[in-house]
Amino acid sequence: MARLPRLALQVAPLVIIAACKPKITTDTYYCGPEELCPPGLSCHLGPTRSDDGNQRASFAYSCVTSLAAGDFACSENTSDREPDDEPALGLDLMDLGCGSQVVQEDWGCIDSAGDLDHYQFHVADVCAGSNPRFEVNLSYPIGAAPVSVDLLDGTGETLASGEICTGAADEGGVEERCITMPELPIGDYVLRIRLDPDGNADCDGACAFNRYQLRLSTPIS
Amino acid sequence: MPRHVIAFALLCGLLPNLAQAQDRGYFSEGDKQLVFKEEGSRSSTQRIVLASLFGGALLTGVIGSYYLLDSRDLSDELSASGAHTGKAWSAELEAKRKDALRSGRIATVSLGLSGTLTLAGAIAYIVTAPDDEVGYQDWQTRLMVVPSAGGIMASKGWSF
Repeated sequence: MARLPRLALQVAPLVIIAACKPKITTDTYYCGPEELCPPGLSCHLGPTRSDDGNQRASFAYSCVTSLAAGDFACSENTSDREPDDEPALGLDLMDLGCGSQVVQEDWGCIDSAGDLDHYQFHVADVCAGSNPRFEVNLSYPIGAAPVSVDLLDGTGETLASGEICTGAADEGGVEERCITMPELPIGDYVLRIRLDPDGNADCDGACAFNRYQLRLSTPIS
Repeated sequence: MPRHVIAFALLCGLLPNLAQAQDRGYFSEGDKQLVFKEEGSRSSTQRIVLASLFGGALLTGVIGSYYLLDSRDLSDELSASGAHTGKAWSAELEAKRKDALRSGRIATVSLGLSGTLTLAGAIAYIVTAPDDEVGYQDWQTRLMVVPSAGGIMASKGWSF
């Protein structure tokens, strides 16, 4: 019986400690900037996948156990097509009509600080409407290096660069950059995607890569 | 004549008491003691020590409870298991996690200290419990039967 109070004194602090510790299990949070995850978990940079047939797929850029965390590779589950480091080699999106929208379904991919992705498109018409404009939206996970988008004209001159336009209440681990311009004159244009040259959130070079999704639209009102 | 009868009757009435008193030993010399019991009290130093121990236990208990609740609330905000929260882990959440752990540590130390002080106070309370002061006083009982005019006078007296 004399041991009981002593045991209680030893156990009570452990109970208190256990009661006060956040319990965060695998695959419940997206990675924060620079692969930031809760202690004990690692950022899963691989594609969405299933660890085995009986488990649900882990979210990409999600914080998972070290064993489940996959490495980054552009070749997996992306639409990355190389070489496209030169504007003339960029994927041709053809004519961009009035009131149209082009959405990249698969992830694009930048695998290093020097990697460039280009997308060519052509504006063929002058659009009518109360507010014709050209919009670009680039979204990418915040878990790896930030990605930038620039709009170039046919001569390669930069017309505009994307500004961060993520919603203030958005905590979903995805950052967005937007370009909004009045209607573009008829001509050829190029979008250039690369790691943000002004950004340094690349884990000191260890996470100088990322995936992205691109959306172009030409609303007229 | 009637007074003699009354005196005899009184004497007869006292005899059983007398016999009973002798059975109890009332009339034997020094056969009974008055016991005076006075509850003892702690010294002012002891009281201060006890008040400090229990007061400290109460104070640290309140502090520990506050931080325990704070830590619990923060932990509940962050804890996640099973379903994805849809949120990204951020520097703010990491700071909140550290706050939860810090509050938990403070709670652990405070409540541990509170328990220790309570235990120490209980031990001190037992150890410093004052003894009762007991005093004794002998007392004696006397029965006096004195002949008087027309009869006897009987009386019972105590001295101490």
